[in-house]
Amino acid sequence: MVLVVLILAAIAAVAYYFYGSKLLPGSSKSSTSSATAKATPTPTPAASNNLDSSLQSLDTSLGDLGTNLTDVDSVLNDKEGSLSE
Amino acid sequence: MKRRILARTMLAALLFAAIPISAVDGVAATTPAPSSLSAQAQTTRLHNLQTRGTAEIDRRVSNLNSALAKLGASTKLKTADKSALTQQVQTEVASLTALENKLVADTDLATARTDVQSIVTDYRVYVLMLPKVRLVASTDRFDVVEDKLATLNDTLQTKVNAAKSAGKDVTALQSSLDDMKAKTADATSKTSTLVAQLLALQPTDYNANHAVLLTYRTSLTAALADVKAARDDAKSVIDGLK
Repeated sequence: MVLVVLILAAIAAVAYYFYGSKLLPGSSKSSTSSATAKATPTPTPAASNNLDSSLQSLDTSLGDLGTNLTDVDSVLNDKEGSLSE
Repeated sequence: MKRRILARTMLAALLFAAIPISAVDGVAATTPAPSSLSAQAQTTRLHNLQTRGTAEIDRRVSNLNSALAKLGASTKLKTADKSALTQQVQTEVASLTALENKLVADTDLATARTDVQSIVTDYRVYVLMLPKVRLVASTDRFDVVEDKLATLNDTLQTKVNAAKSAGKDVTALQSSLDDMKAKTADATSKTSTLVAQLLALQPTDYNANHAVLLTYRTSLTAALADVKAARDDAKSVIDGLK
């Protein structure tokens, strides 16, 4: 009798362990619905962010271009070099 | 009588004073021309030319090697442009090094003088080659900007079309978008052939026209105004879509 009770208790403990750690299928409805909610995109802000990041990338390239043109002018106006030629 | 003696004395003194003037002219007329310099003077002049010439070559080779290092490290130049520029700079370094060896071995003044002059006229390191490298690098950067503008224009056109389908008045947005496209095309038309023209430039082109590079710099200035205007158009469309 005691042995049967112990076996049942062990089965219950194992079942609780797997259920509690969400290893059994369908063990946590709330977590599944939460994951679904996270996967759902929010279209408007994402699209806006893409455009903003594209503009930011463009501005970075324009800044790089401006720096390079400044270098061009400094080389074109290199007095030491020009005077020697 | 005394007056006559005094007058003769003064005339004699004047004639005597005139002698050194003609003597100076005679000395000037007999100054040897450079070709008839003494051997010692020629050797000194040759040595000075060789010293100055090698210093000028070393300075140029050093600057060209710095440019080569920058070219090697550059990640923004197109592969073909990087390769063409590297080859041109390496050729100048090799030719200048050969010229230096020749100059050091020169034994007569006229040849050394010609070699020293060619350091400038045959290479044009400071007024052509080094600026040319920078101008090609800038032109390649224009390509990057123009590509980004074209891609952004396509994306924005899709968004504006969607907004129009949803019933939004997109008249102003479409106008900005059209201007953005036109300005990008203007910039592309100003820069698309520059690299080929720049790479083809030779020292003889600079010798014939000292302002040859300014034409290209002016084109880049105009193209910069175009891409900046296109960028501002894009910003206004993005703001209008929010």
